[in-house]
Amino acid sequence: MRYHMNPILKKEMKRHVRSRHFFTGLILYEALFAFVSAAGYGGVFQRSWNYRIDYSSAAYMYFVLAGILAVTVMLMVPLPAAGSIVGEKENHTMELLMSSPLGIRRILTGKLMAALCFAFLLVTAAFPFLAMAFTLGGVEKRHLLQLLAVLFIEAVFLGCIGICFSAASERMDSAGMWSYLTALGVCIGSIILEAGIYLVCHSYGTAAADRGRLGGFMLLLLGNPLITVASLLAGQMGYNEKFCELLTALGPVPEVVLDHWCGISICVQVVLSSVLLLSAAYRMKRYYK
Amino acid sequence: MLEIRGLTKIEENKRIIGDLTMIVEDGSIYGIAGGQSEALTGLCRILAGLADWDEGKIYVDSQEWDPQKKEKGIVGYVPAVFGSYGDMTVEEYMEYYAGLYNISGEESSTRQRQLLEWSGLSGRQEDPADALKMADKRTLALAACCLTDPGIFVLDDFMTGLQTGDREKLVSLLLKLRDRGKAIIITTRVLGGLRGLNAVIGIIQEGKMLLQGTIEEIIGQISRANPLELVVEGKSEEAVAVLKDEPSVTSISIEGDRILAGFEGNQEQQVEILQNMVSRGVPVVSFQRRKSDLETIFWKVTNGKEEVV
Repeated sequence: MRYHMNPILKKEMKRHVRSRHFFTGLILYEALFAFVSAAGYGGVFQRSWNYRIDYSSAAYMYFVLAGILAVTVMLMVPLPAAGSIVGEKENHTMELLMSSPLGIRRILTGKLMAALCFAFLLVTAAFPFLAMAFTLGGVEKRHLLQLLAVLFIEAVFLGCIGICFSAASERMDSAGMWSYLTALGVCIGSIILEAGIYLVCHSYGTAAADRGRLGGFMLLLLGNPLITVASLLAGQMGYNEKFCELLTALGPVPEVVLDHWCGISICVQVVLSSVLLLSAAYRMKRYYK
Repeated sequence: MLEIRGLTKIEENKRIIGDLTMIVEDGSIYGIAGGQSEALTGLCRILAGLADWDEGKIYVDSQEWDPQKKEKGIVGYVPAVFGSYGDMTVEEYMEYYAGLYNISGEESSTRQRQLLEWSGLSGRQEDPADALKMADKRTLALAACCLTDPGIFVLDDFMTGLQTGDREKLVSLLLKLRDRGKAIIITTRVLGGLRGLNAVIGIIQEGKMLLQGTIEEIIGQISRANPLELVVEGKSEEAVAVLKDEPSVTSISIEGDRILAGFEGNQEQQVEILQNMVSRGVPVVSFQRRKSDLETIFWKVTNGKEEVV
């Protein structure tokens, strides 16, 4: 059976590659990553002048670089996704697209993959720097693959947020604004909210019994992709206990959730992504009705 | 052949299309004209599978057909506004269109080249599609539609806003498609856009089909309501007396030396009136049925100035 590449993905990738910003962005990003890696790994070996080499600190570089990748995905995915459907409306190409037999499912898949492709190119380009930790020890191949998988889920979730707003908006600037606000709200805002609740409880000396009921608020972080990456890295680095301590700062959280935080949060984000895509599909279907 | 029976579309409690019935034969061009673009565009979108409808049925070659299934090779749709992506070339536009319809391979590339030659765009493959002038954009859109070799073409507002030379090129392409047995539907808000297409015309008002037929048939239908116009040199009372004796004359009015008579007769009766005038010695300077041009008819009909029975 012959494989036919999604025509929308093919078209979008051609457009990306033609753009001057594409190569400039890639080069600058690689340079930044190279600088951070050189500084970090270099620091590990420079300490050998006075100390024995602490190879385990190379694993910290993995942690830092993985964190940078997670933030890269958070910043690079929402905007292209937000411009995906609304861009078709502004270019007056929506009718051409919707009247074709391609189908809404393939249209959304193509748009989502196109929104992810630049971010994933950056992630893939940065992987050799990450993999240096693997050569120094403490990080295994499966850890890299797990990280890649979680970053992919993060990208899909944030991409679906962008696509949902893109299908609902009539203008690219409003779609972009709402997508970014929501992505930042989910990734950063939820952490700030939890921190705020924690500070308020401890400032006002909330009774222990009441604090026990606030543990449920932590479950909001199941929808935060950055916390998912953090939980994965904590598990890989052997910091599970400390991570669980942070999650129970507001009160007890069900054991099963704590033990399987990464897996459960991935499931939650996949379900949310599906809901967002269904919402986008519904809006597209009703666009001309 | 495309047949539409009793098509109705209601949007926000307003009847956009009301009980529309029409037939477009293979190898013919059907021009739909109307003052309200929402009815015209609404019909095009229904046929392109973009919008649904509330009542009525659509048939292709006598089989009931649902446009929303978007079967390849049935309908080729060109929307009113040509859309393209900023940096996409003419060749890439064709390739993209082929991709949307899952047409690929060497055969597809050959077909794309042939269509660009047929449409006169073969020397412009590398030009950005956005930079083409309006006529060339529409030509490109039409050529892209032909990739799937549809039996029915639905062209929304296709002939509006074109220069004369450009218009002739598009007319020539459409006539070629017609001669290949395609059924072509063109919507327009300006009736003059259908000139030269030998089209069957349907005039829509408030979503309902008011008139259908060739240009001559429509002019004939409306013109029958046009008054007789006489200019006589003196003896106007005698002329009026002749007119009063005619049962087919419904009203008489005098504007200076011009006499206007509401007339419901045919050409033979018209000739008889003139003969009677001459035989009674009325000095007739001119005698004719007031003519309407197509645009005036269209304006009158769509603005309710002309009642259609």
